[in-house]
Amino acid sequence: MKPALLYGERPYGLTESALIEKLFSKAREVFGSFGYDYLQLSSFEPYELQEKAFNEGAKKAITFKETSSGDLLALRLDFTTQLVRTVSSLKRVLFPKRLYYFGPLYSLSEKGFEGLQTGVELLGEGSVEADAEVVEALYAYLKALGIKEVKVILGHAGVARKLAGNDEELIKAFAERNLELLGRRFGPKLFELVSVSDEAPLGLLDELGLKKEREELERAAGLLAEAGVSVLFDLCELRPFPYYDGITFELFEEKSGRVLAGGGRYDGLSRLYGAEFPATGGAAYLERLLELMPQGLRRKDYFVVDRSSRGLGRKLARLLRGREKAVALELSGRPLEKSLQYAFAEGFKEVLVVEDETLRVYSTPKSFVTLRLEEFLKLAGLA
Amino acid sequence: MLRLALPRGRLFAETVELLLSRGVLNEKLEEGRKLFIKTGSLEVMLVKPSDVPVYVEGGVADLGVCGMDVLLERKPSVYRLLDLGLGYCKVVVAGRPESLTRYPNLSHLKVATKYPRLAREFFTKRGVKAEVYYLSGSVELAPLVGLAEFILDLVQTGRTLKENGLVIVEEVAESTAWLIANKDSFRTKNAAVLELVRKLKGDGP
Repeated sequence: MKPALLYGERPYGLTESALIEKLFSKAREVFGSFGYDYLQLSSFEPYELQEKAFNEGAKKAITFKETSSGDLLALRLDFTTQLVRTVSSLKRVLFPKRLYYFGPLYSLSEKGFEGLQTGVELLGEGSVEADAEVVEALYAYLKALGIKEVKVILGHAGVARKLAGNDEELIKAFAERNLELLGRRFGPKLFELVSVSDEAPLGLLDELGLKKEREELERAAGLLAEAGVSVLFDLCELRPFPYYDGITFELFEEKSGRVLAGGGRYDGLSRLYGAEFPATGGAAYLERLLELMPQGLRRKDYFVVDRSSRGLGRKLARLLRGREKAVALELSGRPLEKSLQYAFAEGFKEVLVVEDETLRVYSTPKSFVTLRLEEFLKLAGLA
Repeated sequence: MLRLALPRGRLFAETVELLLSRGVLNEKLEEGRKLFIKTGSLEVMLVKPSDVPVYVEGGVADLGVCGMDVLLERKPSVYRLLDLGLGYCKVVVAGRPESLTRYPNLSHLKVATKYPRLAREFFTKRGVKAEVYYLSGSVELAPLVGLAEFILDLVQTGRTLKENGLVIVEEVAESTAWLIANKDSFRTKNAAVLELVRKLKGDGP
Protein backbone atom coordinates (compact mmCIF):
# COMPACT_ATOMS: atom_id res chain seq x y z
CA MET A 1 0.00 0.00 0.00
CA LYS A 2 1.42 3.36 -1.00
CA PRO A 3 1.51 6.11 1.64
CA ALA A 4 -1.32 8.62 1.28
CA LEU A 5 1.06 11.55 1.65
CA LEU A 6 4.47 11.96 0.10
CA TYR A 7 7.51 13.07 2.06
CA GLY A 8 8.05 16.78 1.52
CA GLU A 9 4.54 17.32 0.17
CA ARG A 10 2.55 20.27 1.53
CA PRO A 11 -1.11 19.32 1.63
CA TYR A 12 -3.56 22.19 2.08
CA GLY A 13 -6.91 21.58 3.73
CA LEU A 14 -10.15 23.25 2.67
CA THR A 15 -9.87 26.12 5.15
CA GLU A 16 -6.27 26.82 4.14
CA SER A 17 -7.24 26.59 0.49
CA ALA A 18 -10.04 29.10 1.06
CA LEU A 19 -7.52 31.46 2.62
CA ILE A 20 -5.08 30.94 -0.26
CA GLU A 21 -7.87 31.85 -2.66
CA LYS A 22 -8.40 35.03 -0.64
CA LEU A 23 -4.66 35.80 -0.66
CA PHE A 24 -4.65 35.49 -4.45
CA SER A 25 -7.75 37.60 -4.98
CA LYS A 26 -6.34 40.34 -2.71
CA ALA A 27 -3.06 40.20 -4.65
CA ARG A 28 -4.98 40.69 -7.88
CA GLU A 29 -6.96 43.56 -6.36
CA VAL A 30 -4.08 45.39 -4.64
CA PHE A 31 -1.25 44.83 -7.11
CA GLY A 32 -3.70 45.47 -9.96
CA SER A 33 -4.55 48.82 -8.38
CA PHE A 34 -0.86 49.78 -8.63
CA GLY A 35 -0.96 48.98 -12.38
CA TYR A 36 0.76 45.58 -12.15
CA ASP A 37 -0.14 42.79 -14.60
CA TYR A 38 -0.29 39.13 -13.63
CA LEU A 39 2.30 36.88 -15.27
CA GLN A 40 1.80 33.12 -15.23
CA LEU A 41 5.20 31.45 -15.08
CA SER A 42 6.46 27.97 -15.85
CA SER A 43 7.46 25.67 -13.00
CA PHE A 44 10.80 24.77 -14.61
CA GLU A 45 14.16 26.48 -14.76
CA PRO A 46 17.49 25.51 -16.35
CA TYR A 47 19.56 24.27 -13.42
CA GLU A 48 22.73 25.80 -14.84
CA LEU A 49 21.23 29.28 -14.52
CA GLN A 50 19.97 28.58 -11.02
CA GLU A 51 23.51 27.69 -10.01
CA LYS A 52 24.74 31.02 -11.37
CA ALA A 53 21.99 32.96 -9.62
CA PHE A 54 22.07 31.26 -6.22
CA ASN A 55 25.59 29.84 -5.87
CA GLU A 56 25.48 27.41 -2.92
CA GLY A 57 21.73 27.96 -2.54
CA ALA A 58 21.12 26.05 -5.79
CA LYS A 59 21.88 22.83 -3.92
CA LYS A 60 18.33 23.04 -2.58
CA ALA A 61 16.85 22.82 -6.09
CA ILE A 62 14.75 19.82 -7.03
CA THR A 63 16.33 18.70 -10.29
CA PHE A 64 15.61 16.23 -13.05
CA LYS A 65 17.06 15.42 -16.44
CA GLU A 66 15.24 16.23 -19.65
CA THR A 67 15.73 12.97 -21.47
CA SER A 68 15.91 14.13 -25.10
CA SER A 69 18.53 16.85 -24.60
CA GLY A 70 20.14 15.58 -21.40
CA ASP A 71 19.78 19.07 -19.91
CA LEU A 72 19.38 19.36 -16.19
CA LEU A 73 16.19 21.16 -15.23
CA ALA A 74 15.04 22.31 -11.81
CA LEU A 75 11.73 23.23 -10.29
CA ARG A 76 11.31 26.93 -9.54
CA LEU A 77 13.36 27.93 -6.48
CA ASP A 78 12.49 31.59 -6.66
CA PHE A 79 10.07 33.74 -8.67
CA THR A 80 12.34 36.73 -9.24
CA THR A 81 14.99 34.88 -11.23
CA GLN A 82 12.35 33.09 -13.28
CA LEU A 83 10.47 36.26 -14.04
CA VAL A 84 13.65 38.09 -15.06
CA ARG A 85 14.68 35.17 -17.29
CA THR A 86 11.24 35.13 -18.91
CA VAL A 87 11.22 38.87 -19.58
CA SER A 88 14.83 38.73 -20.80
CA SER A 89 13.78 36.18 -23.41
CA LEU A 90 11.08 38.42 -24.90
CA LYS A 91 11.94 40.17 -28.14
CA ARG A 92 9.98 43.33 -27.44
CA VAL A 93 9.38 44.69 -23.98
CA LEU A 94 8.09 48.11 -23.16
CA PHE A 95 9.81 49.25 -19.98
CA PRO A 96 9.09 49.84 -17.19
CA LYS A 97 7.24 46.56 -16.83
CA ARG A 98 5.12 46.05 -13.72
CA LEU A 99 4.35 42.40 -13.05
CA TYR A 100 2.99 40.31 -10.23
CA TYR A 101 2.90 36.56 -9.68
CA PHE A 102 1.37 34.01 -7.39
CA GLY A 103 2.17 30.34 -6.92
CA PRO A 104 4.31 27.60 -5.42
CA LEU A 105 8.08 27.43 -4.95
CA TYR A 106 10.00 24.20 -4.62
CA SER A 107 13.12 23.38 -2.62
CA LEU A 108 14.70 20.47 -0.80
CA SER A 109 13.99 21.90 2.62
CA GLU A 110 13.64 19.73 5.70
CA LYS A 111 10.43 21.60 6.48
CA GLY A 112 8.82 20.52 3.21
CA PHE A 113 9.44 20.84 -0.49
CA GLU A 114 6.70 23.33 -1.33
CA GLY A 115 5.99 26.90 -0.35
CA LEU A 116 3.79 29.71 -1.63
CA GLN A 117 4.56 33.27 -2.61
CA THR A 118 3.03 36.26 -4.28
CA GLY A 119 4.97 39.34 -5.20
CA VAL A 120 5.60 42.28 -7.47
CA GLU A 121 8.53 43.07 -9.73
CA LEU A 122 9.19 46.44 -11.37
CA LEU A 123 11.55 45.87 -14.29
CA GLY A 124 13.43 48.45 -16.32
CA GLU A 125 13.37 51.23 -13.74
CA GLY A 126 16.42 52.13 -11.69
CA SER A 127 15.09 54.95 -9.53
CA VAL A 128 14.58 54.91 -5.77
CA GLU A 129 10.97 55.82 -6.56
CA ALA A 130 10.63 52.31 -8.02
CA ASP A 131 11.96 50.72 -4.81
CA ALA A 132 9.52 52.78 -2.76
CA GLU A 133 6.63 51.86 -5.06
CA VAL A 134 7.30 48.13 -4.65
CA VAL A 135 7.46 48.48 -0.86
CA GLU A 136 4.26 50.52 -0.85
CA ALA A 137 2.45 47.89 -2.95
CA LEU A 138 3.48 45.08 -0.59
CA TYR A 139 2.56 47.24 2.41
CA ALA A 140 -0.88 47.89 0.89
CA TYR A 141 -1.28 44.15 0.29
CA LEU A 142 -0.59 43.26 3.93
CA LYS A 143 -2.89 46.03 5.14
CA ALA A 144 -5.64 44.87 2.76
CA LEU A 145 -5.36 41.43 4.36
CA GLY A 146 -6.08 43.01 7.73
CA ILE A 147 -2.54 42.92 9.14
CA LYS A 148 -2.65 45.89 11.48
CA GLU A 149 0.76 47.14 12.57
CA VAL A 150 3.12 46.76 9.65
CA LYS A 151 6.59 48.27 9.69
CA VAL A 152 9.22 48.39 7.00
CA ILE A 153 12.92 47.77 7.52
CA LEU A 154 15.12 49.30 4.85
CA GLY A 155 18.66 48.18 4.17
CA HIS A 156 21.14 48.41 1.34
CA ALA A 157 23.10 45.48 -0.06
CA GLY A 158 25.88 47.90 -0.97
CA VAL A 159 26.71 48.62 2.67
CA ALA A 160 27.91 45.15 3.71
CA ARG A 161 29.35 44.36 0.28
CA LYS A 162 31.40 47.56 0.05
CA LEU A 163 32.57 47.37 3.66
CA ALA A 164 33.59 43.73 3.28
CA GLY A 165 35.07 44.01 -0.23
CA ASN A 166 36.44 40.62 -1.19
CA ASP A 167 36.69 39.45 2.40
CA GLU A 168 34.36 36.43 2.29
CA GLU A 169 34.73 35.88 6.02
CA LEU A 170 33.46 39.40 6.69
CA ILE A 171 30.56 38.97 4.25
CA LYS A 172 29.65 35.82 6.19
CA ALA A 173 29.96 37.76 9.45
CA PHE A 174 27.46 40.33 8.15
CA ALA A 175 25.11 37.59 6.98
CA GLU A 176 25.29 35.81 10.37
CA ARG A 177 25.48 39.01 12.45
CA ASN A 178 28.61 37.56 13.97
CA LEU A 179 29.24 40.36 16.46
CA GLU A 180 32.59 38.84 17.47
CA LEU A 181 34.06 39.29 14.01
CA LEU A 182 32.21 42.50 13.19
CA GLY A 183 33.33 43.92 16.54
CA ARG A 184 36.97 43.17 15.75
CA ARG A 185 36.63 44.94 12.40
CA PHE A 186 34.48 47.93 13.34
CA GLY A 187 35.38 48.40 17.03
CA PRO A 188 33.31 51.08 18.76
CA LYS A 189 31.08 51.54 15.70
CA LEU A 190 29.75 47.98 16.03
CA PHE A 191 26.54 48.74 17.89
CA GLU A 192 25.70 51.67 15.63
CA LEU A 193 26.22 49.45 12.62
CA VAL A 194 24.03 46.57 13.80
CA SER A 195 21.25 48.61 15.35
CA VAL A 196 17.83 48.51 13.73
CA SER A 197 15.87 51.66 14.43
CA ASP A 198 14.07 54.62 12.94
CA GLU A 199 16.94 56.83 13.97
CA ALA A 200 19.42 54.84 11.98
CA PRO A 201 22.96 56.03 12.07
CA LEU A 202 22.81 57.08 8.44
CA GLY A 203 25.59 59.55 9.27
CA LEU A 204 27.76 56.49 9.88
CA LEU A 205 27.46 55.70 6.20
CA ASP A 206 29.12 59.03 5.33
CA GLU A 207 31.94 58.24 7.74
CA LEU A 208 32.35 54.86 6.06
CA GLY A 209 32.41 56.42 2.59
CA LEU A 210 28.95 55.15 1.62
CA LYS A 211 27.32 58.42 0.53
CA LYS A 212 25.33 56.90 -2.36
CA GLU A 213 23.80 54.31 -0.07
CA ARG A 214 22.87 56.96 2.52
CA GLU A 215 21.23 59.17 -0.11
CA GLU A 216 19.21 56.28 -1.54
CA LEU A 217 18.03 55.14 1.88
CA GLU A 218 17.03 58.66 2.90
CA ARG A 219 15.15 59.21 -0.36
CA ALA A 220 13.28 55.88 -0.05
CA ALA A 221 12.38 56.56 3.59
CA GLY A 222 11.10 60.02 2.63
CA LEU A 223 8.89 58.62 -0.13
CA LEU A 224 7.51 55.91 2.16
CA ALA A 225 6.84 58.43 4.94
CA GLU A 226 4.72 60.39 2.44
CA ALA A 227 2.70 57.20 1.93
CA GLY A 228 2.24 56.83 5.69
CA VAL A 229 4.63 53.88 5.98
CA SER A 230 6.81 53.68 9.12
CA VAL A 231 10.42 52.86 8.37
CA LEU A 232 13.32 51.42 10.36
CA PHE A 233 16.84 50.96 9.04
CA ASP A 234 19.04 47.88 9.15
CA LEU A 235 22.39 48.75 7.63
CA CYS A 236 23.82 45.23 7.83
CA GLU A 237 21.08 43.40 6.01
CA LEU A 238 22.15 41.02 3.28
CA ARG A 239 19.15 39.26 1.76
CA PRO A 240 19.37 35.45 1.53
CA PHE A 241 19.84 35.51 -2.25
CA PRO A 242 23.13 36.85 -3.61
CA TYR A 243 21.70 38.84 -6.52
CA TYR A 244 20.53 41.84 -4.50
CA ASP A 245 22.67 44.90 -5.17
CA GLY A 246 20.76 47.97 -3.98
CA ILE A 247 18.05 48.94 -1.51
CA THR A 248 16.61 45.91 0.31
CA PHE A 249 13.55 45.75 2.52
CA GLU A 250 11.49 43.64 4.84
CA LEU A 251 7.96 44.17 6.11
CA PHE A 252 7.05 42.82 9.51
CA GLU A 253 4.05 42.71 11.78
CA GLU A 254 4.85 44.52 14.99
CA LYS A 255 2.71 42.37 17.29
CA SER A 256 4.17 39.00 16.30
CA GLY A 257 7.59 40.34 15.26
CA ARG A 258 7.32 38.13 12.18
CA VAL A 259 8.74 39.23 8.83
CA LEU A 260 5.94 38.77 6.29
CA ALA A 261 7.46 40.12 3.09
CA GLY A 262 10.81 41.15 1.71
CA GLY A 263 12.81 41.93 -1.37
CA GLY A 264 15.12 44.45 -2.93
CA ARG A 265 16.88 45.80 -5.98
CA TYR A 266 18.71 43.46 -8.33
CA ASP A 267 20.01 45.55 -11.24
CA GLY A 268 22.67 43.03 -12.27
CA LEU A 269 20.48 39.92 -12.42
CA SER A 270 19.23 40.32 -16.01
CA ARG A 271 22.85 40.09 -17.28
CA LEU A 272 22.75 36.44 -16.33
CA TYR A 273 20.08 35.96 -18.99
CA GLY A 274 21.74 38.05 -21.71
CA ALA A 275 19.73 41.23 -21.11
CA GLU A 276 20.40 44.42 -19.21
CA PHE A 277 17.74 46.25 -17.27
CA PRO A 278 17.55 47.54 -13.72
CA ALA A 279 14.87 46.00 -11.53
CA THR A 280 13.42 45.80 -8.06
CA GLY A 281 10.78 43.62 -6.45
CA GLY A 282 9.59 41.75 -3.44
CA ALA A 283 7.38 38.94 -2.24
CA ALA A 284 4.95 38.22 0.56
CA TYR A 285 5.64 34.96 2.40
CA LEU A 286 2.28 33.26 2.19
CA GLU A 287 3.12 30.32 4.45
CA ARG A 288 3.64 32.83 7.25
CA LEU A 289 0.41 34.62 6.41
CA LEU A 290 -1.42 31.30 6.51
CA GLU A 291 -0.23 30.85 10.10
CA LEU A 292 -1.18 34.36 11.10
CA MET A 293 -4.58 34.89 9.51
CA PRO A 294 -7.89 33.46 10.69
CA GLN A 295 -9.04 30.50 8.66
CA GLY A 296 -12.52 29.36 7.83
CA LEU A 297 -14.42 27.69 5.07
CA ARG A 298 -15.63 29.93 2.28
CA ARG A 299 -19.23 30.77 3.08
CA LYS A 300 -21.56 29.52 0.36
CA ASP A 301 -25.13 30.76 0.05
CA TYR A 302 -27.60 27.90 -0.38
CA PHE A 303 -27.73 24.13 -0.19
CA VAL A 304 -30.89 22.97 -1.96
CA VAL A 305 -32.69 19.75 -1.03
CA ASP A 306 -35.25 19.01 -3.73
CA ARG A 307 -38.34 17.25 -2.34
CA SER A 308 -40.67 18.43 -5.11
CA SER A 309 -42.20 16.17 -7.73
CA ARG A 310 -41.34 18.52 -10.61
CA GLY A 311 -37.62 19.24 -10.11
CA LEU A 312 -38.37 22.71 -8.69
CA GLY A 313 -35.25 22.63 -6.51
CA ARG A 314 -32.98 22.24 -9.54
CA LYS A 315 -34.75 25.13 -11.28
CA LEU A 316 -34.48 27.31 -8.18
CA ALA A 317 -30.75 26.56 -7.90
CA ARG A 318 -30.24 27.73 -11.51
CA LEU A 319 -32.20 30.90 -10.86
CA LEU A 320 -30.14 31.69 -7.76
CA ARG A 321 -26.84 31.01 -9.52
CA GLY A 322 -27.95 33.50 -12.17
CA ARG A 323 -28.03 36.05 -9.33
CA GLU A 324 -24.39 35.20 -8.49
CA LYS A 325 -25.32 33.13 -5.47
CA ALA A 326 -23.19 30.09 -4.58
CA VAL A 327 -25.63 27.18 -4.65
CA ALA A 328 -25.17 23.40 -4.48
CA LEU A 329 -27.77 20.65 -4.78
CA GLU A 330 -28.23 17.63 -2.57
CA LEU A 331 -27.56 14.69 -4.87
CA SER A 332 -28.09 11.79 -2.49
CA GLY A 333 -31.38 10.61 -1.09
CA ARG A 334 -30.13 10.62 2.51
CA PRO A 335 -32.39 11.64 5.41
CA LEU A 336 -32.94 15.38 5.80
CA GLU A 337 -31.15 15.43 9.16
CA LYS A 338 -27.95 14.15 7.47
CA SER A 339 -28.30 16.67 4.63
CA LEU A 340 -28.58 19.51 7.14
CA GLN A 341 -25.55 18.35 9.13
CA TYR A 342 -23.53 18.07 5.93
CA ALA A 343 -24.55 21.46 4.54
CA PHE A 344 -23.77 23.50 7.65
CA ALA A 345 -20.46 21.66 8.19
CA GLU A 346 -19.54 22.52 4.59
CA GLY A 347 -20.09 26.23 5.13
CA PHE A 348 -23.51 26.83 3.52
CA LYS A 349 -25.38 29.75 5.07
CA GLU A 350 -28.86 28.34 4.50
CA VAL A 351 -30.50 25.11 3.43
CA LEU A 352 -33.56 25.29 1.21
CA VAL A 353 -35.88 22.26 1.33
CA VAL A 354 -38.08 22.64 -1.75
CA GLU A 355 -41.47 20.97 -1.98
CA ASP A 356 -44.24 21.36 -4.55
CA GLU A 357 -45.93 24.37 -2.94
CA THR A 358 -43.73 25.44 -0.07
CA LEU A 359 -40.12 25.86 0.85
CA ARG A 360 -38.40 25.53 4.24
CA VAL A 361 -35.41 27.81 4.87
CA TYR A 362 -33.06 26.37 7.51
CA SER A 363 -30.57 28.82 9.04
CA THR A 364 -29.35 26.19 11.53
CA PRO A 365 -29.91 22.39 11.52
CA LYS A 366 -32.86 22.89 13.87
CA SER A 367 -34.46 26.23 13.02
CA PHE A 368 -36.37 27.02 9.88
CA VAL A 369 -39.16 29.14 8.46
CA THR A 370 -41.72 27.90 5.95
CA LEU A 371 -42.54 30.09 2.98
CA ARG A 372 -44.66 29.65 -0.07
CA LEU A 373 -42.48 29.37 -3.15
CA GLU A 374 -43.75 32.69 -4.52
CA GLU A 375 -42.93 34.40 -1.23
CA PHE A 376 -39.34 33.15 -1.31
CA LEU A 377 -38.88 34.17 -4.95
CA LYS A 378 -40.15 37.62 -4.10
CA LEU A 379 -37.90 37.94 -1.06
CA ALA A 380 -34.88 36.75 -3.08
CA GLY A 381 -35.71 39.25 -5.83
CA LEU A 382 -36.42 36.46 -8.30
CA ALA A 383 -40.13 36.90 -8.77
CA MET B 1 10.12 40.88 26.67
CA LEU B 2 12.76 38.51 25.30
CA ARG B 3 12.50 34.74 25.37
CA LEU B 4 15.76 32.87 25.89
CA ALA B 5 16.36 29.14 25.30
CA LEU B 6 19.01 27.70 27.62
CA PRO B 7 20.58 24.26 27.23
CA ARG B 8 20.02 21.81 30.04
CA GLY B 9 22.95 19.64 31.12
CA ARG B 10 26.64 20.34 30.68
CA LEU B 11 26.36 24.03 29.74
CA PHE B 12 23.53 25.02 32.06
CA ALA B 13 25.32 25.95 35.27
CA GLU B 14 28.12 27.84 33.51
CA THR B 15 25.62 29.74 31.37
CA VAL B 16 23.49 30.76 34.35
CA GLU B 17 26.65 31.89 36.21
CA LEU B 18 27.64 34.07 33.25
CA LEU B 19 24.16 35.56 32.86
CA LEU B 20 24.04 36.33 36.59
CA SER B 21 27.50 37.89 36.66
CA ARG B 22 26.64 40.17 33.73
CA GLY B 23 23.30 41.24 35.13
CA VAL B 24 21.22 39.51 32.47
CA LEU B 25 19.58 37.36 35.14
CA ASN B 26 18.61 38.69 38.55
CA GLU B 27 18.10 35.34 40.21
CA LYS B 28 19.80 31.99 40.07
CA LEU B 29 17.95 29.38 38.03
CA GLU B 30 17.93 25.73 38.99
CA GLU B 31 17.83 22.93 36.50
CA GLY B 32 14.73 21.25 37.90
CA ARG B 33 11.57 20.00 36.32
CA LYS B 34 10.28 23.45 35.49
CA LEU B 35 10.89 24.10 31.81
CA PHE B 36 9.54 27.64 31.45
CA ILE B 37 10.52 30.37 33.90
CA LYS B 38 9.69 34.08 33.95
CA THR B 39 12.42 36.12 35.54
CA GLY B 40 12.69 39.90 35.31
CA SER B 41 12.31 40.96 31.70
CA LEU B 42 13.16 37.48 30.40
CA GLU B 43 11.22 34.33 29.71
CA VAL B 44 13.61 31.39 29.98
CA MET B 45 13.03 28.02 28.36
CA LEU B 46 15.11 25.04 29.51
CA VAL B 47 15.59 22.65 26.62
CA LYS B 48 17.80 19.84 25.40
CA PRO B 49 21.04 21.36 23.99
CA SER B 50 20.51 20.06 20.48
CA ASP B 51 16.98 21.53 20.49
CA VAL B 52 18.06 25.11 21.24
CA PRO B 53 18.49 26.08 17.57
CA VAL B 54 15.15 24.47 16.73
CA TYR B 55 13.31 26.76 19.15
CA VAL B 56 15.29 29.81 18.04
CA GLU B 57 14.96 29.18 14.31
CA GLY B 58 11.26 28.46 14.78
CA GLY B 59 10.80 31.87 16.37
CA VAL B 60 9.41 30.72 19.73
CA ALA B 61 12.67 31.79 21.39
CA ASP B 62 14.29 35.10 20.44
CA LEU B 63 17.71 34.07 21.69
CA GLY B 64 19.45 30.88 22.69
CA VAL B 65 22.70 29.55 24.07
CA CYS B 66 24.04 26.78 21.92
CA GLY B 67 27.28 24.85 21.49
CA MET B 68 29.16 25.37 18.25
CA ASP B 69 29.10 21.57 17.78
CA VAL B 70 25.31 21.73 17.52
CA LEU B 71 25.47 24.67 15.12
CA LEU B 72 27.97 22.85 12.91
CA GLU B 73 25.73 19.80 12.81
CA ARG B 74 22.33 21.42 12.44
CA LYS B 75 23.28 24.48 10.38
CA PRO B 76 20.22 26.38 11.56
CA SER B 77 19.14 29.58 9.89
CA VAL B 78 19.88 31.81 12.90
CA TYR B 79 22.27 34.65 13.68
CA ARG B 80 25.42 33.67 15.58
CA LEU B 81 25.93 36.72 17.71
CA LEU B 82 28.54 36.08 20.37
CA ASP B 83 31.04 33.47 21.43
CA LEU B 84 30.34 33.18 25.16
CA GLY B 85 33.58 31.28 25.68
CA LEU B 86 31.84 28.68 27.84
CA GLY B 87 32.03 24.90 27.79
CA TYR B 88 35.17 24.61 25.71
CA CYS B 89 35.31 21.22 23.96
CA LYS B 90 36.77 19.70 20.87
CA VAL B 91 35.05 17.69 18.19
CA VAL B 92 37.50 14.90 17.37
CA VAL B 93 37.93 11.69 15.45
CA ALA B 94 39.00 8.93 17.84
CA GLY B 95 39.75 5.25 17.56
CA ARG B 96 41.68 2.41 19.13
CA PRO B 97 45.45 3.05 19.38
CA GLU B 98 46.18 0.49 16.68
CA SER B 99 44.03 2.49 14.23
CA LEU B 100 46.19 5.57 14.67
CA THR B 101 48.76 4.64 12.02
CA ARG B 102 46.16 3.33 9.57
CA TYR B 103 44.00 6.46 9.75
CA PRO B 104 45.99 8.85 7.51
CA ASN B 105 46.09 6.35 4.63
CA LEU B 106 42.44 5.29 4.64
CA SER B 107 40.24 6.22 1.68
CA HIS B 108 37.24 4.46 3.19
CA LEU B 109 36.28 4.11 6.82
CA LYS B 110 33.40 3.44 9.17
CA VAL B 111 32.61 6.09 11.74
CA ALA B 112 30.02 6.20 14.50
CA THR B 113 28.79 9.60 15.64
CA LYS B 114 26.12 11.84 17.06
CA TYR B 115 27.06 14.31 14.31
CA PRO B 116 26.27 12.55 11.00
CA ARG B 117 26.16 15.69 8.85
CA LEU B 118 29.39 17.06 10.28
CA ALA B 119 31.08 13.68 9.84
CA ARG B 120 30.03 13.42 6.19
CA GLU B 121 31.18 16.96 5.46
CA PHE B 122 34.48 16.52 7.26
CA PHE B 123 35.47 13.27 5.57
CA THR B 124 34.21 14.37 2.15
CA LYS B 125 36.49 17.42 2.33
CA ARG B 126 39.39 15.10 3.14
CA GLY B 127 38.56 12.87 0.19
CA VAL B 128 37.62 9.96 2.42
CA LYS B 129 34.49 7.91 1.83
CA ALA B 130 32.89 7.58 5.25
CA GLU B 131 30.23 5.07 6.16
CA VAL B 132 28.45 6.97 8.90
CA TYR B 133 26.57 5.25 11.71
CA TYR B 134 24.33 7.61 13.63
CA LEU B 135 24.20 6.93 17.38
CA SER B 136 22.41 9.04 19.97
CA GLY B 137 24.75 8.18 22.86
CA SER B 138 27.59 5.99 24.21
CA VAL B 139 29.41 6.49 20.94
CA GLU B 140 32.68 5.22 22.48
CA LEU B 141 31.27 1.71 22.46
CA ALA B 142 31.23 1.49 18.65
CA PRO B 143 34.99 0.78 18.09
CA LEU B 144 35.08 -1.60 21.06
CA VAL B 145 32.41 -3.85 19.63
CA GLY B 146 33.33 -3.41 15.99
CA LEU B 147 30.40 -1.33 14.71
CA ALA B 148 32.88 1.26 13.41
CA GLU B 149 36.62 1.66 13.58
CA PHE B 150 36.35 5.35 14.44
CA ILE B 151 34.08 7.75 16.23
CA LEU B 152 33.55 11.46 15.68
CA ASP B 153 32.50 12.97 18.98
CA LEU B 154 32.70 15.85 21.41
CA VAL B 155 35.53 15.61 23.93
CA GLN B 156 35.91 17.77 27.01
CA THR B 157 38.59 16.17 29.20
CA GLY B 158 39.22 13.00 27.23
CA ARG B 159 38.47 10.88 30.29
CA THR B 160 35.71 8.83 28.69
CA LEU B 161 37.91 8.12 25.68
CA LYS B 162 40.74 7.03 27.94
CA GLU B 163 38.52 4.82 30.07
CA ASN B 164 37.39 3.04 26.92
CA GLY B 165 40.89 2.66 25.54
CA LEU B 166 40.43 5.18 22.72
CA VAL B 167 42.79 7.89 21.51
CA ILE B 168 42.28 11.06 19.52
CA VAL B 169 43.39 10.65 15.93
CA GLU B 170 42.38 14.05 14.55
CA GLU B 171 40.75 17.28 15.70
CA VAL B 172 37.76 18.39 13.66
CA ALA B 173 36.66 21.62 15.33
CA GLU B 174 36.68 23.54 18.57
CA SER B 175 33.41 24.21 20.28
CA THR B 176 32.23 26.78 22.78
CA ALA B 177 28.78 28.07 23.63
CA TRP B 178 27.42 30.87 21.42
CA LEU B 179 24.58 33.28 21.84
CA ILE B 180 22.32 32.82 18.83
CA ALA B 181 19.32 34.87 17.71
CA ASN B 182 16.22 34.36 15.68
CA LYS B 183 16.64 36.44 12.51
CA ASP B 184 13.28 38.18 12.80
CA SER B 185 13.72 38.87 16.51
CA PHE B 186 17.14 40.41 15.96
CA ARG B 187 15.50 43.03 13.76
CA THR B 188 12.09 43.45 15.34
CA LYS B 189 13.35 43.38 18.97
CA ASN B 190 16.72 44.88 18.13
CA ALA B 191 17.04 47.32 21.03
CA ALA B 192 16.35 44.64 23.66
CA VAL B 193 18.65 42.12 21.95
CA LEU B 194 21.51 44.60 21.68
CA GLU B 195 21.05 45.65 25.32
CA LEU B 196 21.49 42.02 26.34
CA VAL B 197 24.51 41.65 24.06
CA ARG B 198 26.09 44.79 25.53
CA LYS B 199 25.68 43.34 29.01
CA LEU B 200 27.23 40.05 27.97
CA LYS B 201 30.15 41.83 26.34
CA GLY B 202 30.59 43.87 29.50
CA ASP B 203 29.74 47.14 27.68
CA GLY B 204 26.36 47.67 29.25
CA PRO B 205 25.02 49.10 32.47
